[in-house]
Amino acid sequence: MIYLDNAASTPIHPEVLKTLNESLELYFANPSASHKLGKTQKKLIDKVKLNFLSLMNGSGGQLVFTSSATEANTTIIRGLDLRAGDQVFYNKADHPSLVNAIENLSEKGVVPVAIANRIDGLWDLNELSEKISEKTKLVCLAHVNNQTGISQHVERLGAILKDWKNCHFHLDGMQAVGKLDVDLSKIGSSSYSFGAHKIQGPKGIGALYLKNGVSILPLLLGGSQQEGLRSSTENTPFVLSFEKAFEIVNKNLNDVNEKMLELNKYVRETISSKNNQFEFPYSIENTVPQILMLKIEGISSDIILRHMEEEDIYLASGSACSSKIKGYNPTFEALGIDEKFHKNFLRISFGPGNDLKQIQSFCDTLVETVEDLKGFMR
Amino acid sequence: MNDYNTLALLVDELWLKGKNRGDYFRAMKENIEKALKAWHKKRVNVKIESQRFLLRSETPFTEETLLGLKRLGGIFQVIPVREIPLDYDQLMDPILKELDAREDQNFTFKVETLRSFKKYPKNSMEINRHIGHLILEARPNLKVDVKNPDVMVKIRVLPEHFYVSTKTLMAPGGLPVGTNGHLVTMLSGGFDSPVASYLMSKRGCKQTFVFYYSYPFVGEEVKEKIEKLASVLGTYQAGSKLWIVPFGKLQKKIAKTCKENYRTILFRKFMVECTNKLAKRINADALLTGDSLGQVSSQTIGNISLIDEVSLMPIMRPLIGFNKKETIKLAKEIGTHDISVIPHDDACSMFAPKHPVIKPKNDYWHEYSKENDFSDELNNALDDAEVFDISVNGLLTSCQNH
Repeated sequence: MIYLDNAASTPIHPEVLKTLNESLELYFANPSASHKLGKTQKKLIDKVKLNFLSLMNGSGGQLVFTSSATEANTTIIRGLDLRAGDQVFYNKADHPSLVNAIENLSEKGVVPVAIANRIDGLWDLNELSEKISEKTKLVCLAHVNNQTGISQHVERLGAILKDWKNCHFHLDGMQAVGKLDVDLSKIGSSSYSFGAHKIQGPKGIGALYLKNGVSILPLLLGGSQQEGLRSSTENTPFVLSFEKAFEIVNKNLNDVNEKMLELNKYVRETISSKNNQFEFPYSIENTVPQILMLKIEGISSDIILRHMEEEDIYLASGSACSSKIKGYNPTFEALGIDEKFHKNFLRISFGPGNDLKQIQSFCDTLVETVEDLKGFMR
Repeated sequence: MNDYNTLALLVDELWLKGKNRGDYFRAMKENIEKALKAWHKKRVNVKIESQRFLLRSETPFTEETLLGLKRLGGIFQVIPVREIPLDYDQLMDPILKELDAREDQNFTFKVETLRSFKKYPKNSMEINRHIGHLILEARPNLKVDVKNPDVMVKIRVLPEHFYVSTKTLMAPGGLPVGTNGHLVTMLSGGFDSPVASYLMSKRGCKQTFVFYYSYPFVGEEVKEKIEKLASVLGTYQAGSKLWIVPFGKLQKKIAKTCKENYRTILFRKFMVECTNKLAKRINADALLTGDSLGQVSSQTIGNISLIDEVSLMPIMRPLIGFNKKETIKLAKEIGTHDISVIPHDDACSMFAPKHPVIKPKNDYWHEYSKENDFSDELNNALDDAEVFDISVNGLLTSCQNH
């Protein structure tokens, strides 16, 4: 198997699995219980939170565990209690957990304002600086785009937003954590969300960082766990596994990134030299090495995807969340890609399980498939 | 609608059947019992009473059961009935209850009595007049219209009880499934083939559905769509099967070896050949397609003739003279329209030639057919098919022994 859909989800790391198995057995009690079994867990969870904050350079802030990054994003978008007339800056190229949740606010009179993307996929920060005003109460964007891999200049945006004290700055870091060395103090965002299953952790756990002084209304009400910010029994085994995955990925970050860059470059160079139907719309400089978007003119990406699947090679034709919508892709539209090409993109997302031999084999198969199909497909 | 314990099912052509009538009634009863078992689940007494089926259940029939029964070929009408002891004074209450249950309350009505029990002291005319009068008295906003009433209040007088009914559900009519041969129905995902299937279900044809699955050119969602269609079509059958036959690889082979403008018609040829093989395997009698003359290039008279040449079994084409609008209207009525409109990739259109052949040349066709015998591939495709059982309430379950 050659798995190249790591931006959708990653295989669990053996050490993480070990932590998960052990803790599932060990930590069966409720962390809110008054007895020793509960209190031990509560302390463990608090320690994990501090560890995350310290590793991300967010000390002084708060960490809330959620069920997913989507929940973390919604917690901010709903929890800021925005009023009619307030503006929210967002990017239509971002994940639906941002776009849909923000556009939904217009029901109560909040005004979503879509920011512009430049042709290279980066935010148009000049336009953003001109448009921002006292009415802008939330700027809510993704650090790394899940479909294109574009890595945004978040620190520059952070610097601009420093002057707007009443504006909450939220970043979705789901695709950034584990690919970039995320330093919360440098970014300066008011909040930051991320999750475990993109970094070889389990699905079903995410986290929301809140900068010191940020207050939000909780999404879930109940037993007031996690300082009342998210009622629900804490999932100790998942919290510990998340921590484990986070530690592993960050310990090896530089080495892994180097390897990913090598694989990324290999694909770019190899396949474009073999067939001029291949095109890479975004540069290596503006993207994380793990995500590579590929345009194949003339053949629908779904067809290629399934031919590759037959060879036990797995990749994506869009993000998993929006791949049900046929043809049209709102991310591509926001990036200024003509609708007639929306069906022509593949997303290759590398992970720690990939090596050069796999990628060579992938390239050969892809080129062969496209050569084979182009003769008779319309 | 959900408190009827008695249903009367009127049959359509069964009474025409002379000496074979008994067989037809037995088949009908079997299908009714199958449907009841699947939809109603509770015990039901099924009786034939003067050429009608009378269904009695202790638990009221649900809306679902009524809809299930009204899809059975051979049944003309499903009539929910109130059974009342033969006491004239008890007649009015249930009638008013029936009328009050209607959404609108300003309708016209007519009372029609059929006195099967001739010794009953009041005659039909007297009952009609008197009950009509009592209704008008109790519900002054209603009016009588003897020519074209909104509601027909039917009273049937039998030796032991009255039957009262005010509603009639129309069923497909025709003949019970299983009395008129076994067809293999070629489903495509469009509007036509499901409607063709329905038309032949009501002509009493048992059906096995087949879909040629062009993976990896099309994806799972196409298969899911076909499963949904088969699930609906299965409710007009009395237990059927769906074969999903892998066809992508062969399609590619054909596309690569034949003249571009012959692709579509050759795909069809091999699908029909394969369906013949399937029909032989399962002892079916004929093929069924949704062809309508001239609708697309593969349905011209020339192409149809060539296809008929390769088919050893007759191909039924009940939609041959249908206009698209007529088909779509029926698709809406039978419940397949909303599934057929779901967009999906269609392998045939992906491979579609720019100028498909309309008047095929027999020479090329025969030459290609001679040089490209894909019998083995077709047999293998059938061996690799995914087969589902479809119950009369539309549930698909994987079928291991087919």
